[in-house]
Amino acid sequence: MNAPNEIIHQSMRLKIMAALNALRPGSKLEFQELKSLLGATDGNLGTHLATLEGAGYIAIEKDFVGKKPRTRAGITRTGRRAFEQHVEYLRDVINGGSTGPPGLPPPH
Amino acid sequence: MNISREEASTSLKEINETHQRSSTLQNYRHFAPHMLIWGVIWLIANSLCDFFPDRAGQIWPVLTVLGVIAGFSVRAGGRAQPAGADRPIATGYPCIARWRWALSGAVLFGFFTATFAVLPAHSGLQATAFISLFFMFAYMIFGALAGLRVFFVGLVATAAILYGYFSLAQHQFLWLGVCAGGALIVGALWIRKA
Repeated sequence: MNAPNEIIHQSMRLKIMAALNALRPGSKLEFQELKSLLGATDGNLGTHLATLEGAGYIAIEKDFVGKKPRTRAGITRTGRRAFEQHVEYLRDVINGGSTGPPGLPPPH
Repeated sequence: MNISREEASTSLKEINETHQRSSTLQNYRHFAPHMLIWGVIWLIANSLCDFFPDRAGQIWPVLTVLGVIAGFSVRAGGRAQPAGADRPIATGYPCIARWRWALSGAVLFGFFTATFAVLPAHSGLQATAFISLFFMFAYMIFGALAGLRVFFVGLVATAAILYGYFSLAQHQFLWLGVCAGGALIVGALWIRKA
């Protein structure tokens, strides 16, 4: 039984990880794309990206396209593994394999 | 940290929805340059055919080869990625080898050759309209599966092709070039902004 991942489980961070996990090999999402995809504000998204980067779950690259700064994020091997384990944990909870909160009946 | 069944269910739903939106965005991002290339090819080739109908047999092969080369260049550019341990990693999404694309192109060539052998086209316009319709219906199927914007681009281009073919008495090639090719060009810019 996997344990819940407290860093990933926060709603916005969960969505960020889901969005990045769906990318094709070597692909990254630009900050603006992520912002539009998740309906986040600049500050909120920046904070959560920093948290995920600090945990080693995503890699952030900053460069310039012409004179315009560009920030892109992609998932790392560690992040992918952690995300998959958390998803597995969530499935276990739904299937009744988790300790979960007491009092909930097992699924039929 | 304890997560209830309801919370887990909500989280998985959010994950699935975000995964779907991200995948669609990726599909659009990869598809748009190819749609733009073939929109430009259609625009140029059909316009030239309208002004030089006797040269259609030379115009289309040359521009088709140019389109294929441009398509491969876009793919090669999009695949370039930096190396490094902390770089984003592969997700297991299948990367289609070039020889498989080449084989698919050969199959398409064989399909159209066989089709026109069984059902001969009576004019260059008929052959062009048929091939264009084939690809636009393919766009619609792809769009239905991978992103609805591609479906609508295919639908608009199909309508333009059919209108030009059945309703115009002259300059049908020019119509195909400007309207169907134009639909692809505008559509490519539209899906790129998704």
